[in-house]
Amino acid sequence: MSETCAIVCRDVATRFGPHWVHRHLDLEVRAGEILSIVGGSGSGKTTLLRAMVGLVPHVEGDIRILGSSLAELQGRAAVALRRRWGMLFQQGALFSALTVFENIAFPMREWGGLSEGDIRELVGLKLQMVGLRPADAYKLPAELSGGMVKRAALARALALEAEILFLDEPTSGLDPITAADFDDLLREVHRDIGLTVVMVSHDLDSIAATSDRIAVLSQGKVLTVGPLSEVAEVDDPYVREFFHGERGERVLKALRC
Amino acid sequence: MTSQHPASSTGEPQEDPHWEIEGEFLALRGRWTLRRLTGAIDTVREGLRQAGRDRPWDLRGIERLDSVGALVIWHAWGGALPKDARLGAEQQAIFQRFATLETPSPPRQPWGLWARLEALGAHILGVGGDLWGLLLLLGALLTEFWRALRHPRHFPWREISATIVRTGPDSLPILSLIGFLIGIVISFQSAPTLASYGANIYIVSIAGLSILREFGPLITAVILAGRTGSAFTAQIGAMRVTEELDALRTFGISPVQRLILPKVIALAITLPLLVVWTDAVAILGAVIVAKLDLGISVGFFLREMPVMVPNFNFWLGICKGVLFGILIAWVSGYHGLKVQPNTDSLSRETTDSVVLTLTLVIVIDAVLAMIFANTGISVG
Repeated sequence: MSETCAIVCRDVATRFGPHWVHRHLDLEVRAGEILSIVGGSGSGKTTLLRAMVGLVPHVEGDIRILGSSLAELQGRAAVALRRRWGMLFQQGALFSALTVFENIAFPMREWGGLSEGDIRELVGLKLQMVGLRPADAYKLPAELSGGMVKRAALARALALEAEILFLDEPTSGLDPITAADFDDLLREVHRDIGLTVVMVSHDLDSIAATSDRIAVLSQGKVLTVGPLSEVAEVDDPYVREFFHGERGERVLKALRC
Repeated sequence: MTSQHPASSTGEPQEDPHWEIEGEFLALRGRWTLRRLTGAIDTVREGLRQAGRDRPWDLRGIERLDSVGALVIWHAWGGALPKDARLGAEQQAIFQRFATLETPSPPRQPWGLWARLEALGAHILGVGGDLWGLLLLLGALLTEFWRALRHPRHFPWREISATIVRTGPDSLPILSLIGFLIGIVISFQSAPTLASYGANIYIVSIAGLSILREFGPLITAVILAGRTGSAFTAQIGAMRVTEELDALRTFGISPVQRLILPKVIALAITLPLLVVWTDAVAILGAVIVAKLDLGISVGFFLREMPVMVPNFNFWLGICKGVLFGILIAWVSGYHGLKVQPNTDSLSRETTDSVVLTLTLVIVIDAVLAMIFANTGISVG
């Protein structure tokens, strides 16, 4: 394993019943990069993300995160490792019965060792980082717009000073302006904190605006991985459709300019 | 040069947060992170405050600084950036955030007598709102029922049939167990008193009356309220959370017509049938105890029961079954529609649905007991 890799997937296989989602999948995520995973519908992007965070078990191969193998860790060690990453779910997955403040404070309180005064200031800081106002802190998730839900969920994902951030379709359901704002926010957070980001997305504008590298999934394996300009040149039907359609060409043209 | 390692519990002291006096500067080193500081935050904060008094700070040697580490240093500074501190560019950014930080404070809650009055008023309005809502739903159910009768092709036959299948046969095992035990208990409790007066045969009257008139319908309604009513509320509530109810409305289909009316009709059919079943197994339990404890034969018990317990009691139990069935589906449907799109509301409404249904079942049962106090009870 390279010293600079935050995540290493080797020969990984996952399945739902008799249906194989991934077979012999290899992928390395470098520390400090933003890696986007793209692929056709049903190619197993979200399943791979969930396998990386241990929500879906891999039946073969090995997934090493921050130097530790997911399969080998048990009990407290597994919990300690899980607390080193944060995940932003597609719908935000904020606890609907808790206010935004309580949602962000929840992992801090569970962690222990932080006084309520410290937690209050840290929640304020996270809110400020994701561009929410202190007045939003005591709203319930149902009272937030889609963009605000994503921001609050991002603040919660960062609550325990995550070293890796997993994002599942972070801009889905957002209008283009809000999505672009979220991309700016992601870049800013990435720059300020220097964390590793793994993102599943269909949004080519968002991918182009944020990603250092892109991994294309096809038929249960990583077809190619690299910067956008390299990946877009790969001869594959999905790559052609995704990167050389009308929208793809516009984004690539903008990048070349 | 002096050095301090206040948080050296992680086994990697070279990375732990620590500070050194370098010339006139207090130089911070190591990883000032949540993981490295946990368990020692207050000690480090105080130690840093003491060490940094009247000294310029140098943070450029810090290997990693996260929000928690920055907060500890910020507090040691007394909440203001020292003028002569040496910081990296990223460190500048995070302390700049602290400098402009607005800590969220909870909205002020009303207190004292006023708060109690407000809570009481809200509760009364809530109860009033529930009664009005139940009334409106009843009106909507009657309207939809009338409409369905006028257009039999649109009558929700399939939904009714599916609900009967789900609520009827599946409830039989639990009703058998509870009914049988109730029959045994009634007989068992009455037997010693009756035996002491030599009035053994009155076990037929006592068990028959109490089972057919009260316990059969009541036990069935209680089980169905807990088992089926809560499931109705949760199902309709979950459909509210996932916007399926809105999807129905966009097709011009009323949720009352498609979801609640079939449940009301289905339970009005199923519950009396289940009452008959509960009556039967409860009487079986009573018969067995009467035979074992009081020596009353099975044949005598079954022959005498129609004589000592008028048919009215059986039919009263059946009517109660119909009434309770309608009530369970009506109340659980109302609470299902009341669910807000969040999980807390779903659990609260499900609980409220069961509590209200059980309360109304018992209240109605008591009212019916008073109304029919002198009907169907043979004396002598």
